[in-house]
Amino acid sequence: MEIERFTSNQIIVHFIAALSLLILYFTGIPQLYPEHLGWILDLIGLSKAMFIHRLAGFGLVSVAVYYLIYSIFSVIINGREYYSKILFPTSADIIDYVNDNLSILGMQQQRIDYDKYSWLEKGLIWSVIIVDCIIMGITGIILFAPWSFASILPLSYLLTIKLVHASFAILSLCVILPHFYLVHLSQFKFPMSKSMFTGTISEEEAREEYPKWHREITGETYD
Amino acid sequence: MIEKIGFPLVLFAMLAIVLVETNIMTSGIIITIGLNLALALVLTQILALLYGFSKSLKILNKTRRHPLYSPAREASVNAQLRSLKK
Repeated sequence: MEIERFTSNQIIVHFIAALSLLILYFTGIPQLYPEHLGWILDLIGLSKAMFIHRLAGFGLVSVAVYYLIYSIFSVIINGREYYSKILFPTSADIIDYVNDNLSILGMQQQRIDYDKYSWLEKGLIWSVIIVDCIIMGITGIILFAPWSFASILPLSYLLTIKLVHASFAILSLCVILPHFYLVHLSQFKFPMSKSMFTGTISEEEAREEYPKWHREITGETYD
Repeated sequence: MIEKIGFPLVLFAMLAIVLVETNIMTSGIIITIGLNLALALVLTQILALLYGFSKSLKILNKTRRHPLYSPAREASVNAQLRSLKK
């Protein structure tokens, strides 16, 4: 039996945000390291790459603004209980985090007991919100039309903003790569996890990976 | 096999990015391979996203075109799923 995990709204938002973000990496990172990745710029052309980069940036910022407005209305209408559960870290997440790290170090053998979203998934959401949407979004908007900000910001500030934009892009890529591993290359997901497209996961998968959530929705109890 | 080499591949790509960004190692074949690998992983993800999304849309379209498809039944299944969630 399949259990619903993501709404159609989440699926579409994830698709647009992820596609925009990946296109941003693909067209932005080669501009940082032309000596290593110059072939990509040669293939696409610098002006086209910059145009695609800006278009993808617009896509990411638009979807972030849309989801912010959607979330505000959703909190007003449905209450904040759902968002508190999916977004904000709880004491159980901290315990899971400590247990996971102890088990990686071989100091503890404990069965995972994740809720609907694990500490890692919540961490990824916060990383996307803070790094990709807020920091990269604001610095990206300034770099989109630097001449508009030239009267307010001195040149040294603009250069610093460019450096911040580039550095956080690298940080963001380093966060997305483990996500790539988890959804594509990990043992049970290879070649790819389909739950982000269908919005559902199998009951076995829910029982195995998110036992606490599975117990909550089915009312089952097991050791 | 890819399951076994997946983790080292991702780790290698991340390490190359960290090394080049911290200026510890800015040139050399290792860095070039690492950065290209990172971008290859990004490109794979783009393709996987497009493939997954188009396939799920195709399935949705196929389901709705099926002669036995009934919106009322779909609504009842959704209602059951919602009650299961509560």
